[in-house]
Formats: sequence, structure tokens, C-alpha cells
Amino acid sequence: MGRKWLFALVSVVLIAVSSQTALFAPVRQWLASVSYPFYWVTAIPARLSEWSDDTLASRAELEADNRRLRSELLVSQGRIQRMAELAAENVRLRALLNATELLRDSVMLAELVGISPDPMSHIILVNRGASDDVYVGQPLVDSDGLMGQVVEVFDNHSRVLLITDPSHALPVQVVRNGVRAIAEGVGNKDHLRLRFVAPTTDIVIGDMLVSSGLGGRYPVGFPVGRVLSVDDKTSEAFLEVEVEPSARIDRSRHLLLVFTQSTQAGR
Amino acid sequence: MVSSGEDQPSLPALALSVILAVLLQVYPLTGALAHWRPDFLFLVMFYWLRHFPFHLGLGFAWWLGLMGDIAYGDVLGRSALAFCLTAYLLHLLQQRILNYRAFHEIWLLIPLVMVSQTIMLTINVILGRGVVWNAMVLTAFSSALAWPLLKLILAKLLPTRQPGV
Repeated sequence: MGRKWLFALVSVVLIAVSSQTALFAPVRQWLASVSYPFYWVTAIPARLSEWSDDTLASRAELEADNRRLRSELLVSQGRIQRMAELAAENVRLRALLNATELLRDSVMLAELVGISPDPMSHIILVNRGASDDVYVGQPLVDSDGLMGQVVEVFDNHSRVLLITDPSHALPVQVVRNGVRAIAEGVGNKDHLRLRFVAPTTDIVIGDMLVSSGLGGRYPVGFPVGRVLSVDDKTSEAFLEVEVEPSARIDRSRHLLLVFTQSTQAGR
Repeated sequence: MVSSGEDQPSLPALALSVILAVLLQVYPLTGALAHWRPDFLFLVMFYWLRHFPFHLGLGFAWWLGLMGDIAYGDVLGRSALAFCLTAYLLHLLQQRILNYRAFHEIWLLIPLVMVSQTIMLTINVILGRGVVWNAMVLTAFSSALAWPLLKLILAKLLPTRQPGV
């Protein structure tokens, strides 16, 4: 029975080539268009329930919804006014410091169409791809915070690596005092971990973390999470800090792809 | 249980079952639920290999695994390797399990799913990816639970001239 070794060998070669090299990139483009319909079909129930929520809602529900949205809009507009004031002040101060002008980001709405079936990798599929100018490394956010970054772009959809994936890490800073750290995924949708935080660092439970923009990948200032617990084990060289992600990692369906000006210019 | 030599696996039935399995395999599940997803592709492979041990072999298992890899959109060849090695194990045991009653198949299925999962997890470790080891047990357990139902559905959906089923 020599055939089994042939199959095993071919598999091993496939694994090595597809995971370690980019040789299969064109093939993967084609394969993705084969597998995409499956994801599209399995997303139908979710789309259907959303559609029925939209169309079969009663008048009373719609009115209540409308009222709530109006009040939310009012609150948000109030915040934006304050923001505009702060942004203007920021630009003025930066001008005083001879610093470059603050980058203004534009966004594009994207919809979740699939979740990686492998529970070990936190990857999602969104319905925007190369035809919408999506690029590798582009940040994805939901209404509450940073979700992840695009890792593979196909014609009409792309794969996004979430910040909770064990292979993902991003530079963050504490809003309160600007302390920098690295937030790493642990393969759990509910928390991240901060790496290499010295025991003398000023970080407490409830501290808000935002992206620091240091890696050059994520823009500055997107909410990443809130510190859940700080564990100072005397036997360890570093603090163990757990962070709860701000983004609703496993619930958000409507997402925003952020175009940062610097990357747009660079493309 | 096992078909006589004249019976041929029908291609449309095969294709339909594989498409069904891939759909179930990629159906979006989040959080803890995702670990409980039975390995539907594996169950379909098991079903066909049990019914047509003389027609379908390692090549079939390998292609089925590759189909899974394509659907996952991740490393190519991972499920293909796991499936063809497990199919080989099944092939070695074929003589012994010819007379198994339907219920006893589960005791064969559970270890085989665990072997296949272990191979995939080991590849993940080698590639430096995230690994959740208890996924192996959970998948085996849920696959065993899903097996009787899936078998019933496949037998109803795809009549293969089986007097015994």
C-alpha cells in the first residue's frame, strides 16, 4: 500500500507550500471564489432574520426605534461638536509645535458575511474586496472599537484577522497617562492580554486603552479595550494584565473599514 | 451494511452529501458553540467509506479533506492529510468491522475523529498557530451525537439500493 505515503507526502508538501510561501496566492484567489458561495449561503438565515426585523416590525416598534435613534443622534451630535472644537484646538497646538496636521480618516461600511469555521483562528469574512479598494493591513472597526485588520483581499470579499486571535498583537496606550503596551490576543473573544508590563507601571483596573499607532498599521486613538484585572505575581518579572475588548467581537454585523490618509497616499 | 460488489456509489448523491457537509461545516457559529461543531465532512467520508469500501478509498478521502481545506480558506492539505491517514486506519480495520451493528459504529467513529483532530491540531502546533486541545474531545463527542441523525438523513436522501439500511 504505497499510495497512502504518496497522499501523505503530497499533503505535507501542500501544507508547507501554502503556509510558508506565497506560491499559491493566485490559486487561493480562485479557490476563494469557489468557497465564497458556501459562506454566502450560510449567511442567509442571519440576513433573513435581519430583513424580517426590518420589514415586519410594527408601527409602534418603528416609532419607538425612531425616537431612540433621534435622541441618540442628538447626543452624538453634541459630542461631535465638542470633538470638532477639540480637533481644531489640537490642530492649532500641533501647528504651534510645528507638527504635521492630524490625519483625518474616511470609512466604508462593510458587512460580516462569514466566520472562520476553525474555532482556533479568529478570522471573519466581510463583503468588501479589491473592487472596493480594500487593502491588506486595513483596520476594521465596529461602533465600539477596533475589531482587527484585513489579512487577505479577494475580488469581492476579504478575510479579517481579529485582535483576539492568538497570533495577533497591537500596540496600545493607556488614555489616562499614555503608558504604552502590547495587547495580544489569547484566542478568547472576551479578553486580550498585555505583554511585558513592568511591575512599576502605572496601570489600574478600569483604564481605557486606545491604539497608539506605533506599529504603523492601526491609526492612533481607536478604542481597544478596558483593563479587567491587574495581577502582580511577585514571582514573575511582569504584570499580568487582562483587557476586555471594546468592540463587540462576536456580535457586530455592520462594520467599518477605515481608510487612513497616509496609506491611501502610499498605495 | 456493506454493499455487494455490483452497487456503485452514485455521483450526484456523493456530490450532494459533500455540498451539504461543507455548508454545515462553514455555518457561522461563535464562541463556545464553535468548539462543539461536529466534523460533518468527516462523517460524510465515514458514511461513504463504510458503504463502498471497495469503490472509494484514500483518494476519495484526500479529495474530501482538500475540499474542507478550501472551504476553510486556510492552510491547504491539513484536513487532506488527516482524512487520508484516518481513511487508511479505517481500511486496516475494515475486515474487523464488517459485522458491526449500526450502534457499535460509534465506538469506531469516536477514536477515528479524535485521530483526525489530533493530526490537524499537531499541524497547527508545528505551524505555530493557536491550539485548543479540548476541541479534539468536544468534536469527537458531538460528531458521535450527530452521526445517527446524519446517517438517517443521508440514507433517506440518497437511496443507494441498500437492503440493510
